[in-house]
Amino acid sequence: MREIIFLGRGPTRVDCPYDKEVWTVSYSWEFTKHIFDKVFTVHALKEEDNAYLKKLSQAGCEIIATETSPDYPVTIYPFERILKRFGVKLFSDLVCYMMAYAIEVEKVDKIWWYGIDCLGYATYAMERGGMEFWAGVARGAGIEVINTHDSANLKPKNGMYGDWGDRKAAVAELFKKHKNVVEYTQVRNDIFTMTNNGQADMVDTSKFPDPVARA
Amino acid sequence: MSREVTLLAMGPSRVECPHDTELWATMYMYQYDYHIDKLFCTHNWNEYNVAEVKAAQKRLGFKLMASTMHPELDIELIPIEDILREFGTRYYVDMVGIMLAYAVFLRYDRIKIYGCDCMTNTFYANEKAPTEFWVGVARGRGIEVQIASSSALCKLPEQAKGCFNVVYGLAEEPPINAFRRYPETAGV
Repeated sequence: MREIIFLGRGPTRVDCPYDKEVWTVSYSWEFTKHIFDKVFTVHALKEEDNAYLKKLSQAGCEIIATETSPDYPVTIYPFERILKRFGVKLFSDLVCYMMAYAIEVEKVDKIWWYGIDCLGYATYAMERGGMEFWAGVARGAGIEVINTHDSANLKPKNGMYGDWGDRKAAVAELFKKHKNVVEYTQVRNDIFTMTNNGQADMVDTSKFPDPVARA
Repeated sequence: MSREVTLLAMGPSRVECPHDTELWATMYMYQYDYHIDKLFCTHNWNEYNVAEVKAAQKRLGFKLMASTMHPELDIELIPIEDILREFGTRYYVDMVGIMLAYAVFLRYDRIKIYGCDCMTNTFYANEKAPTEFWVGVARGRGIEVQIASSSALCKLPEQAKGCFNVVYGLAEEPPINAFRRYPETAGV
């Protein structure tokens, strides 16, 4: 079974155990010196960032981008192949690119998300849906996506929709019996309050433990 | 032969619905007197005028799919236990998500969605992404999903990227007008 970690830049990145192959987004190198297995980038990068990508590349990291670079070898993102397979252009975030690549090109079995949190209100509107769409594609294709406890992705505000009467207990029991299910817990109320207040996109990350404090 | 179903909800894009396939609708759609094959309800029956629902069922002939029984209504229970077992998640945030999951469960080849528009900020945050998750599940199983053109579902907000459906990170359309080469699937 091939398992991959997707590392984003959200606060729950501090939960990442780095115990599997790690794919990440550009600028993740700002918070860790880990030698990633793959870095995805679709942005024009600054000179110093290109220098760092060159170092990562020399250390064995594969750089997957939408255009070539004179500084390091690049695997061009196979957009045509992805479009042909899925026929959709719902790419709201780099994570969407990574998900499509994992499903179509690398055919992985399980994807662990860390730091993919969508904790800002604007992020909810703009990017969360794209990520969840691709999580759904993965699920439909039989690939598990496991998310962190504090991420807002793939979590309902109020639990499962609907009034199921006395069937609710049976549903809960069903989940206890089936260990292979992916149980997305309810999003924490304090997180939802932060994200749904419409005041600001940036979340106060002091509410989350930092790596030093955890150590 | 291809099996198609249309999911119809209350949003403005319901007016685009061609009514050319089997049709499943969310609860209050019975008020519009469309031909409906299945009407879905997962709320407590205390929230509804049961006599009105009963009269609508008699008038329109739909099958009432619900989460719980009611002694005065002819109901078929939504097989939620089977659906949960199939997909292994309780990530159902709205009615359309449950209907989508059920349609995927029943292995339809094509699903059309009208009136599920997710146009408001609240809906964006609460229901748009989860519904898109279920569209993704359908796509992941190779089911074609067609969404009303005026719905915000599976589209990026205009203010985010300058125009609808622009792909993140790319200043221009993908190479060699790739989307135009696959027009039959570019609807999502």
